[in-house]
Amino acid sequence: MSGHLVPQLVTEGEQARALRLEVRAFLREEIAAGSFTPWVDTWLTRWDNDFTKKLAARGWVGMTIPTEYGGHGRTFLERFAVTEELLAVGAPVAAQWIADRQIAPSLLRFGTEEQKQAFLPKITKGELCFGIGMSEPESGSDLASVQTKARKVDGGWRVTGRKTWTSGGHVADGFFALARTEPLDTSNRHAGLSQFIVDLRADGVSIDPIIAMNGSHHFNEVTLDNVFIPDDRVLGTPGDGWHQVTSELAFERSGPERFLSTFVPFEEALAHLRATSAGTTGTAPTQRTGGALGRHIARLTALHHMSLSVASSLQAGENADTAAALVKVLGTTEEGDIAETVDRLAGDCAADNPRLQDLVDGALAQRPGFTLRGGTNEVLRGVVARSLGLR
Amino acid sequence: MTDAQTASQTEAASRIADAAEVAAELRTLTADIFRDAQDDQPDTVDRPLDLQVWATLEETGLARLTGPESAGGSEAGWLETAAVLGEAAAAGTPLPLLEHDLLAGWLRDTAGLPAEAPAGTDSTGTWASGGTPTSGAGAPATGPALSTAAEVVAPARAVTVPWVPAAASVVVLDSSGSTPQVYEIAVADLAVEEREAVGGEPQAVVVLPTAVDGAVDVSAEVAQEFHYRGALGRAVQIAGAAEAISQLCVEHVTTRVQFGRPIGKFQAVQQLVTDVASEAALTRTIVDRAVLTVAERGMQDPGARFLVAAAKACAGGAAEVVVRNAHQIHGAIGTTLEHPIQRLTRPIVGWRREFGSTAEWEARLEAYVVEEGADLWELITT
Repeated sequence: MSGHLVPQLVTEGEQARALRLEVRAFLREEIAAGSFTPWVDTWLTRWDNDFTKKLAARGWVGMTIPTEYGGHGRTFLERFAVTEELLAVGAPVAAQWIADRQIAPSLLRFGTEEQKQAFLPKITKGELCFGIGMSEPESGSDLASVQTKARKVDGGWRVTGRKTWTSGGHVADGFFALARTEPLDTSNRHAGLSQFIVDLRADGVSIDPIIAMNGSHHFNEVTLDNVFIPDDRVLGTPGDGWHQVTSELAFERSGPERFLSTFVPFEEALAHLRATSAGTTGTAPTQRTGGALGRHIARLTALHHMSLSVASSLQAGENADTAAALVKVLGTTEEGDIAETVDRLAGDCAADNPRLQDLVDGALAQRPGFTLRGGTNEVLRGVVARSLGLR
Repeated sequence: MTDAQTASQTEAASRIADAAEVAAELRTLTADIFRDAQDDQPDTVDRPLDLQVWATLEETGLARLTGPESAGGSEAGWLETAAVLGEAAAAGTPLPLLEHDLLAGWLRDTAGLPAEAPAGTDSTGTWASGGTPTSGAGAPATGPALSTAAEVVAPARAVTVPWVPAAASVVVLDSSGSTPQVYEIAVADLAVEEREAVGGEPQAVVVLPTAVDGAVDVSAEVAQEFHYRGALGRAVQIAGAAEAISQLCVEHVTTRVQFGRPIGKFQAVQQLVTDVASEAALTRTIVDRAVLTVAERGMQDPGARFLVAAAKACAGGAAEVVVRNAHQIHGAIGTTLEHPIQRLTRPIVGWRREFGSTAEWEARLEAYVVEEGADLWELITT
């Protein structure tokens, strides 16, 4: 039973491996040239349009988009290799992340020909950035309870409501808003929802920052006040929003951003340990740590392979919802635990190693979000429980 | 890439594909054998060797699955043997497959020791001196030629050796001197203090001789490989048992009714069960990856060794959650001898401490990076 929770094991092919090494070499040069400073959780915390365009110029954005829509027609395994390399060095990738990860697959699956032609080439060039328009102040884990409403008018829809936790909303071009287009049917709460492609610069859209506890600004509340959405900017079929939204969850939940958010501080801590052990006599570093970092090395390796096999499963068009939920539960717990372990071992290191201290502080500040965003781990365990036949 | 390289890669890929196919067949075949055997087994604290099952495995060539044909083996690799080892663990059938085949047999063949195990100078014969190698109608009157394996790192230091009470001989890796050596000794010639492993399998504390006349020198690589083989074998067993435990947990919470409904309807219980399933799945992933890589590249490959270390460390850590939650889920009935969960949870606790504790393998992983300066990201992604 649980044997089927994980898709078939895959080995990264030569092509993906070569690509991986190419990206790695490029990123090394970029870091050396000071193009970016590696950081924590950078698919949320570091938005850099220029860097995204630089990646796009190399063909590393919109990789899985077919060439007929300006994309690169590459596999999910190749995309996996590229995204993993970007996250492992904490490159600034927030500007492309949502568009590349879930907007493009959604458009390909549910969009009209005109929509695909309008958006996909620009996403591939790194010129069009998206946020997410699902959660609301009163609708967190219970997404079907969204209160944003769309009313049919001549030639389109008028959408009114408040969307929250829109990462990068203040700098993004658009988002897909999930809205209720039919009155709530309490016997079928998932019916009557629709998705709209919203231009965040349109009339009636206002964006307010949500400031995180460490003062950083990544999240926003987006208010839609009677915003006009033309008929040709409805995504998919009106009333089919729930199915459309949930069908993209495996893309959203299974990727390397679910276990690599703290990889930069982790490597920094290992380097710190190596540096401080040089010259000290008598005590091996592992004696000081009790091998505590080794546990994370083991689990990160396992998660890499698990996430890779989900990417392969997505490539094959299989349903990987449960496996994706598993990757997210295990991976986000792990990346949070890494922050704790590194802090536990490094202690107060601001005087000796301010860089490590900054990274640890950054990791601890981001940590609560890891197990919340994209479905809380409690909700995800429910997903797994359902697949086991418990509910 | 040259044509020759491409050809050899293609050949290697087809060898692996064939092995995977055989492994799948073996999984089905042995699952049946083990299931039938389980039904006849009494619930006892000690879990002696099931002689009937062992005889079946010997007849079918599974007991010496990875050995050369010349030594009565089936010349299989890690994929095939992991399938059988994992099924035995999942069935809760204690079997010395790792010890007899992957360790003792391998060490004997690698060192070029005689295929015939030493009879021992004590002619009373002792394989049965363990008292209770058991049970089952039609059990052979004389014991099987079972071997186990052990390492001795210092003279006169006692070591715990699995399956000694059921074995005729021990193949010993003597790492006490400057050059590792291998010899085989009859159990009859050893002073053994028998005990039970935490899972109930027979084991013994033994003082093994060092610098033995006639011992054969082996390379440091062989000596190292012994640890990695043992660790991978135990990780395979833990992965198999963890999945079986996960299944029992699901069965229990969907059938056990309290407060008028199956307890699996309660979210608190669901979270316990999903954590068992998650840890089992994580272990399955890394163990399968390690087995496949060892099958492809051999145990001397540094990447393969890293994965073995990761697999054993991961399995050991996962075992903590799996065992703890499984017992919490099963309630008081799960703590009894008559409940089948103990056939799975007890051995796991023993396996995770053998061939390197969880902490030892975690320290090894850390040392790769911190002390030996390996590139962590490259280790993870190759």
